[in-house]
This record gives sequence, structure tokens and C-alpha cells, in this order.
Amino acid sequence: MDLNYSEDEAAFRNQVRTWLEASIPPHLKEKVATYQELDREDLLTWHRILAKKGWVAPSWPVQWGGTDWNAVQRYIFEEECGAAGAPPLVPFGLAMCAPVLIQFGSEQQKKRFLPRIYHGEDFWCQGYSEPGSGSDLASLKTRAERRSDRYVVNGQKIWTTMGHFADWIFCLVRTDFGTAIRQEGISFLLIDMKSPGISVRPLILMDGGHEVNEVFFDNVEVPAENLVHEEGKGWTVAKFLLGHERLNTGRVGASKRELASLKRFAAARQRNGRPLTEDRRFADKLAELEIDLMALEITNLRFLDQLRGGKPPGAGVSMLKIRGTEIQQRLTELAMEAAGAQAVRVSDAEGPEAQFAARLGPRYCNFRKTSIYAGSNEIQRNIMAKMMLGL
Amino acid sequence: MDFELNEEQRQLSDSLERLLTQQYGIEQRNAIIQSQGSFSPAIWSKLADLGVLSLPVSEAAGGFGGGAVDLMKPMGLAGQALLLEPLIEHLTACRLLDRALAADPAAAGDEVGSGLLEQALSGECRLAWVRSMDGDDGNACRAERSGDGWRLDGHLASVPGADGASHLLVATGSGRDAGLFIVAASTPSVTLRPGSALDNRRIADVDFANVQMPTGQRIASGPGAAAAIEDAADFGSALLCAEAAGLIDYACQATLEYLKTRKQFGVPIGSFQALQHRIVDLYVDLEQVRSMAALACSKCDAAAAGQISEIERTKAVAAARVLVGKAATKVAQESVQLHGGMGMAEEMKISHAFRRLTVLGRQFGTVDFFLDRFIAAERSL
Repeated sequence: MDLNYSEDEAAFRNQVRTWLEASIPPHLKEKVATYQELDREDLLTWHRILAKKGWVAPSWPVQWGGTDWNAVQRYIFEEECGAAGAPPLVPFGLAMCAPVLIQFGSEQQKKRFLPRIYHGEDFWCQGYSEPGSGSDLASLKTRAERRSDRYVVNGQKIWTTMGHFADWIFCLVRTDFGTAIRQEGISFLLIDMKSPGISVRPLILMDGGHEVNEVFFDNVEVPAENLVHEEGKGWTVAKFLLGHERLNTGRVGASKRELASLKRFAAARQRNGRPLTEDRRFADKLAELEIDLMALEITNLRFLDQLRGGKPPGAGVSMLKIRGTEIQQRLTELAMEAAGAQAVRVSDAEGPEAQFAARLGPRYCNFRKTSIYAGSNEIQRNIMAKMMLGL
Repeated sequence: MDFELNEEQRQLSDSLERLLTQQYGIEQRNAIIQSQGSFSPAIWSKLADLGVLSLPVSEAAGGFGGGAVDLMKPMGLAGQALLLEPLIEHLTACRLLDRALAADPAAAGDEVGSGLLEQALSGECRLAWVRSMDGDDGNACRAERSGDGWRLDGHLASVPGADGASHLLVATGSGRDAGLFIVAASTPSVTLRPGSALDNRRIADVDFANVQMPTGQRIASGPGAAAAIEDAADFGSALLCAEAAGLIDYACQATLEYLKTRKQFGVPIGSFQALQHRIVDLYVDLEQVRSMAALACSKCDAAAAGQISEIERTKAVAAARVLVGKAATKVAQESVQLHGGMGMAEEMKISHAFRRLTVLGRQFGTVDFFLDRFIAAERSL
């Protein structure tokens, strides 16, 4: 048994690490490190740097811009990006719509959309959840009626991240209300956000931020050629996405960087006249979190190893999301605690130190979403109970 | 032992409940946040009219001579309504002022102090009190003899109730060296930097830059001042526990309602056993919080009446703060999670409850702080 990367893998990791160190614009690195909001320009800037290097879409086929890395290299790359504090890549186009088009799309759709996604020319958002369809996504009701050469879409999506500045939305819609099995009436449709009849309403979250929206469709006309795969096969498409690239849901690299930041931050704080890191209770909490993260990292590597051996990961991979998000949340909680009274204030903070502390409470609030989104941790447990344990 | 309210307490609670139901709904509360800087003079004046502001002050000073137990239900109602106005801070400061004046009848600052107390009870002015939490990121204040008077120096971050307070009661030192000073917020060498807190309430950073104070501004000193200060600290914490009980009650009810009405997979999600167990756990926590709030409040009153020692009171209040602090975090996190995505939405009251519970659990001290305080009290008993 060998828990280490091979020589080749380690060399690759160093190559990636070195390039990242030299290539993340300092102002963006600063923003990420101090939890400042990244705007559309910021996200595009990083996207274009990666695209220029040829590393913006590693998992795509080479003909469309992929890097021909194996699963381990792809994992290493994502982890190193997290560890280096690179800005996140918006996943909806690159990691969701694109793989779907590559797997199920027509040649015309691939040619039309993939290069634009690759170069960051189109921002995508995801139209899945509805007010009445969260965990029970298959119950979705947004209807798409086929009329000659187009679909007419009516309905509403919710929790649409970046819907307010997306160019396109990929939607699960119901094209058939009469099927015995609900899933069989669902189709996957690509919709231009500039289409008449689309309206976007911000959904402010409890941290005061605007990242998600409600998107309303009022007789929106969508060319029939924007259907991906076959009518009624949308659920198959969605399931494909769920099983795709699941080894990074633990966000180990990013959490390791967060932990290191937290330690530095805590060492500079005082409790009872001593550095906070010397406070026994806080030190215990920090240590326990570090230990949980160590365990998660090794578990993640073991899943990766299975993949090396040609065995796709089973339902157990859900545990990476469960534990990974719990750790992410705990990191934000301890950071807020470390800032003490300074984290109570959220407005009118003066100076970089106070401004940083004033972001920690809202960040703690914001991260409560991680155990809810991308398949709530309850659903993840259901999946494991059913598929892994046969219950 | 008797956990029921008496007639007077019931009447006050009923009146307050009516006021909050009619004038402190979600929309009205949002309006107070957006356009009144989280303080409604109209509501404050009604609280004064109802007698809430005068409740814990002695009859000699124009109050009702009530105690923490009398305020339990009212604070619970304030918790449920997510009251933004600095009620606990003001009540605690008034009680502190009242007791400090009584402890040191010959103190030079008495006239100023009594005049101020009278105005505070009527709602004309607001008071807040500050105290050193020594050694935590420079949050400290010290008073030193300076000529005929005193010099106050220090910095305190995010003091609740300080924004809009006309005067601050500043508690320094301990035991024989304890002192309580009245400092006008408008004093030139005092800087108040206001801001909003995570729970939409108002706070201010307070800076004392060598504030020169004539002797008259010290209204109490020595063991008498120390006793009044510790009483106020425990009193404020006890009220906070009572507020938490009301707020956690709301969070449980709202979450239960959501579990009963939200349908997925064709059934209410409350029919899933895993979720049933989790909400039952929240209700169990609610009862423990209620119990500890009652304990903390009754021990405050018993100590004030000389029936138990101050250490016994301090130990009970510290215990309550530990339990309530842990429950506040857990209930906040679980109630949002059980609401799914909706729990994250700012337009949902439960998300406001999350933020208030997060701040409340740490106000006047964290769980770790009170664990230390409990252990110290336990050891000295």
C-alpha cells in the first residue's frame, strides 16, 4: 500500500503548483484570500488566463480543448487550484453544460457552444430547481410545449446561481405531462437568457448577498434545435451529470488552504492575554478539524486510487460531499469565533483588518448553503443508504 | 417550587404580546431595519409606557422593583419577535445604575446618576454599559487616578446598545479597585463608531482616548461597585437566556410548520423519520433552554434578595449561558438545514432567527468564556 503520489504524479503536481504561483493575478489572489466578492470581470479574467494556458477544461476531449490528463492528474489540478487560492471557475458552462453537450449534443450544438464556453464568451446558469421541486427534482413542472419548430416554455426556476448575468441557461423542462414515470416526461433544453419572456428576480440570501435568483419563463420561444439528446430523455442527461466528476466535491485542497489561513489568523488574535492558538479549547477545536480534514484527504485519495484501477467510484463518493461540506462549514464557524467581537460588526468597518473580520459572520451564514445545495446532505445519505448499503 | 407567572407578570406579558403582534410583524420589522436604523422611537416609547423599561429598577428610584423572573416572559416575547431595539442592554444599564447608586449613597456622582436614571426609565434617553473583557484583542478599558479625578483609556469593539446611548456606564477594575463611571457619549475624547451587527441590531466601537473625568463621574467604587457590576452582568445574561427561549421557541415552531407543509416526493417531508428525530431533538433543547433561563433568572432574584450567595448566582447563570449558547448554535443550524434552500433566503424570518441566535449565543461572552466562569464558580463554592 502506498499513500503517496507516484513520481510522475508528484512531478505533475509541482508543475501545476509552479504555474499557479506565477499566474494567479495578485489582486485576485488577495480578493480570494480575504473573502471579497468576485465580480463577473474577476471570474472572466481568471477563466481567460486558464484558457490561454489550455487548462480551462481539462476533462473535455482534446479536440474541444481538453488536456488529455488522466483522472489522477485532473484531481491533482483541481486540488492545487484550491490550495493556491485561485478564483473558482464557474462550473455551469465548463463542468455541466459542456460535458452534457460532449456526451449527448449534436455536432451543431457542440460547434456552436463549446468554443464559446471554452473562451468564456458565454456565461451559463443552471435551471433545475423549482419552488415545488428541490430534492424531488423529478416533480418539476416548468412546461415546454412543442409547436412546429420551437418549444414554448412556461414556468419558473429557483436558486439560479448567476442567473442575473448569465447569457444562457440549461433547463430541465417537462415536455410530457402524461407519462407514467415522471422522469420520462423531462427534456433538456438550452435557452438564451435574452429571449423575450424571461425575467430574473434576485433572491437575496441571509448574508445580504445576491448570488441566486428566480427565473420566470412567460411563453418563451426556444428553437427546437436547442433540445439536447431526445425529448423525454432529459432525466438521463441529468443523471449523467450527477455521476460525472464527483471526486472533488470534498474540496480538500481549498479547505487545507482555509485551515492554514485560519491558523495564521488565530495566531494573531488574543484570548485571555495569549495568542488564541495557545488557548486550550480553541487549539482542541482546530486540531480536531485538522484531523477530520486529514481523514477526508486520505479517503479522497483512496477513491481516486480505485479510479486508477479502472473502477468508477460507487455511491460511497457521497461521503466526500457530506464530510467535505461539514468541514467547510466548521472552518467558517471557527474563523468567526477567532475574530471575536470584531466579527459581530458587518458594516462600516475601518481598515483592512476590521473589514476582513466583518466578512466572517456573513461568510459563516453563506456557507450554510453547502450542506443544502448540489444534493442536500440528507439526500446524499439517502443515496448511500440505498445504493451502498442496500437499505 | 413554582414555575407559573403571577397576575401582574401575566398582564404585562399580555400587553407586550399585543404590542409586538400588532406592530412588530416581519414587514414592520424590515421597515425598522431599512428606514429607521433598527430603532423605532415609537416602539421604545410604548415599551416605556408599558412599564417594561422601569421593571428592574427599585421603587425608590421610580421603578417597579421587579426582578429577572418578572422579565422572563417579556424577554421571551422580544426574542420571538426578533426585537431589534436594545432592550436588554438598556435594562441592564438601568439596573446597574440603580444598584450602584444604592451601594454608594455618598458617591459624588449621585445627583447626575439619579437624574439620568429617571430619564432612562421614561425612555427619554438610552443607556448602555461597557466592561473590560481583558486581554481579548485589546478590548479593555482602564481607569487611573489623574489629579483630582480619573483618566479613562481603552477600546471596546462592537458594544451592543452603545449606538444611540446618551451615556455609557463604564465598569473598570474588580474587587476593591472596581469603579463605575458615567460617561456622556458626547464627550470629545470619547469616540463612538456605530455600525450594524450580523443580526441587524446596532452596535458601536467605543474608544476612550485619555478621557479626563472629574471625581463626580465616578458613581460607585470598591466592593459595592463590584457587586453591582457582577449582578448586572449576570442579570443581563439571564435576560439573554430568556430571550433565547422565546427565539428558539419560534425557530422550533416555524421549522415544525415547514416540515408539516413542505411536500416533496408526494408527502410532507415531516413524515421522514430522520427529520422527525431531528426536530424532536430541537424541542428537547428548547425545554432545556427554558429550564436554564428560569434557573438563571430565579437565581438572580434570589441573590438580589440575599437568599443565596453571589457565587451561586454566577455559577447558575454561567451554566445557563453555556447550555443556551450551545443550543442557540445547534437550533440555528438545524432549523435552517431543515428548511432546505428557503432557510437561506433573507425574506424568510427563520434566516433572521439564524443570525440573531448566532450573535445572541456569544453576546457578553462565548460558551468558552462561560465554561471558565462556571468552573471557577464551581471551584470556589
